[in-house]
Amino acid sequence: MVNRYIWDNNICLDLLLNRVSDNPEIIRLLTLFENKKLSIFVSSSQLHIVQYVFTVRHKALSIPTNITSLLWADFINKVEIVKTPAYILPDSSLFQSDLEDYLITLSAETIGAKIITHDKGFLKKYADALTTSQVISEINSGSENKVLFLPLEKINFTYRIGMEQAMDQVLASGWYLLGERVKRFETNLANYIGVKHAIGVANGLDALRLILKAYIEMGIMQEGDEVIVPANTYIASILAISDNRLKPVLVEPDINTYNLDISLIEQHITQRTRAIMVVHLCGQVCWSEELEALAKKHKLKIIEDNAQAIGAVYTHPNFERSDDSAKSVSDEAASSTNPNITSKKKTGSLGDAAGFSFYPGKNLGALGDSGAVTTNDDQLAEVVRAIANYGSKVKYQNEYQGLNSRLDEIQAAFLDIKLKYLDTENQRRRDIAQYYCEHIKNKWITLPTFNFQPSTFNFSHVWHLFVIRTPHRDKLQKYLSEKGIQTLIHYPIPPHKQMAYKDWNDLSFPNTEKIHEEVLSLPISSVISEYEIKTVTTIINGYC
Amino acid sequence: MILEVKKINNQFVIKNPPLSSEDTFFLQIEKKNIFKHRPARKMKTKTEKIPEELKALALKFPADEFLQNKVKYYVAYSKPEEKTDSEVYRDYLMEKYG
Repeated sequence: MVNRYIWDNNICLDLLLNRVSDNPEIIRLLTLFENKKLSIFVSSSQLHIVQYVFTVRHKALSIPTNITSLLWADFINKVEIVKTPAYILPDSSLFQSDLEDYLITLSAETIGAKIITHDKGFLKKYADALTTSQVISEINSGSENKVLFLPLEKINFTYRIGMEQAMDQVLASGWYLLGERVKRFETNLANYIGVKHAIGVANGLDALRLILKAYIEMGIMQEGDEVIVPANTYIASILAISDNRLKPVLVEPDINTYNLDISLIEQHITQRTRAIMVVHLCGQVCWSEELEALAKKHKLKIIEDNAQAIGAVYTHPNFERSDDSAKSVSDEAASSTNPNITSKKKTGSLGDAAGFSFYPGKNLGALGDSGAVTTNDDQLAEVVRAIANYGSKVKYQNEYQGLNSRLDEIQAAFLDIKLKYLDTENQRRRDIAQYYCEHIKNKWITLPTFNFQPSTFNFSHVWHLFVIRTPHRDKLQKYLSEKGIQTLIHYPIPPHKQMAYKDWNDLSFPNTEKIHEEVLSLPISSVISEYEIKTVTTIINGYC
Repeated sequence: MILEVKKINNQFVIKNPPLSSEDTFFLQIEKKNIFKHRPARKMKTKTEKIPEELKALALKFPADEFLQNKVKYYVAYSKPEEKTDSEVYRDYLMEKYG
């Protein structure tokens, strides 16, 4: 249940003017909002009214103007302002009877909020208008044990105002594709990852498809060449290969990390192998010196499927470990990354090229599909950009049989807003993962193998998913569902058992199959509350 | 100009008729625009007593400037006696837009 309330003018004024004798519960209401970390929402249509009345009341009591201004500024900083929409319905009875109240209800509807008021008329006319007492009681009784796997609305709500502004600007600009906002996001993404080029594309699958297609156009690969790819991955990694008429060669994962077992790669390399596609699954870096050496030895390209691990950092094992170094990664991650620092690199800058997905559920998620390719290879970047744009570098001149796979302005603007907060959100995910790992204690459950000791290596996981394993996966999932905890399975059917790859259905990948049979993803996101984390933990610990 | 209308002997009398107007003229008053006159009540004395809940809250969230200043400059009000919030705002609108 989302507790969102717009405070009507009279309630705002009760608070501002400390009208405790008229609304004895006003401080109690404020206390509840503070303790539960609830936002005080105010419609933009209310501001001038509240400000005027507040100022007049203060003036009448000879309160110095500077104090009034200070308290008003505090109030404005404290509340969250909600837009007043233009899409009014003049036929509405509230529109006709009380325009002021009507505008507040419109604002409330944009964020799914109720309204707190002691205006009797408002309470009578609008079903979602409640008194202070009713709201206090509703909030107090609303502590359900329902924990959503990934409350996307709540995540994006955090960026609501920036997104509204971006939406207005893009709409008014009349420029919706291949514009300044895409360029800005590409530059910011490239700086963040620490690469020369970032190219916005339509989705994560296209990002990988485009890289391979570009390598084919560049003569580095040709039809029938082999690309090594983990057997345990989301099918998109494999689709990108087969879609380009290349041959995916599946390799088993490490049972502890679920990532590609690098030690098994070499035995799968043949004369036709041209690339290794590593997938940083669940948000964990899949990289090693051994992998780099292998690629160098066999002259293979390394393509990163970085759909799940944006922000993760690979630290060279010889890099000196200390608490300070952990801090330096954090600081570095918060600002732009220096591509010259080779001891620490972000996923997406490790291989020859990387594909990103900004699917809404990702750590950096758009409000729809989008993705990106990153690389330090100038030629690859140029070809990818052209292929993604109908194979054209110059309008109406087509060099390649391209695709239409472009990031649009509105999604780029949204992503640019969220990119600034990605490291903070990833850190929150690390904290949650650490809590789960330290507090979930159940003999039936295998927790992720990860060392949370302070070191730079902590940054090698951004916990896109928190995946546990249990031999009774379906039973555990049912148990958790009955207790109000939503979980998901990433993924229920391995690629080689899919209908899409019928020829592989008889192949055996025991680790992959075991993982697919046993994994369960627990709720993890930047907006999950402490209460929810504890609830999940307690309930899982009670499973037997 | 504002015409001052007073009820005398159950009749509405204009106390300051415009001198340049005709001897007789009509005023049309819409019922919904007639507001009841309420006698001014004496303002309750303001009190500096800060509710314990508010003090505790400010103590719990020391970084919250809103709470800190709220306590620092606390003045408790009773409900405004002379006019409701809406009336205060209506007066402002009348003054601004006529």
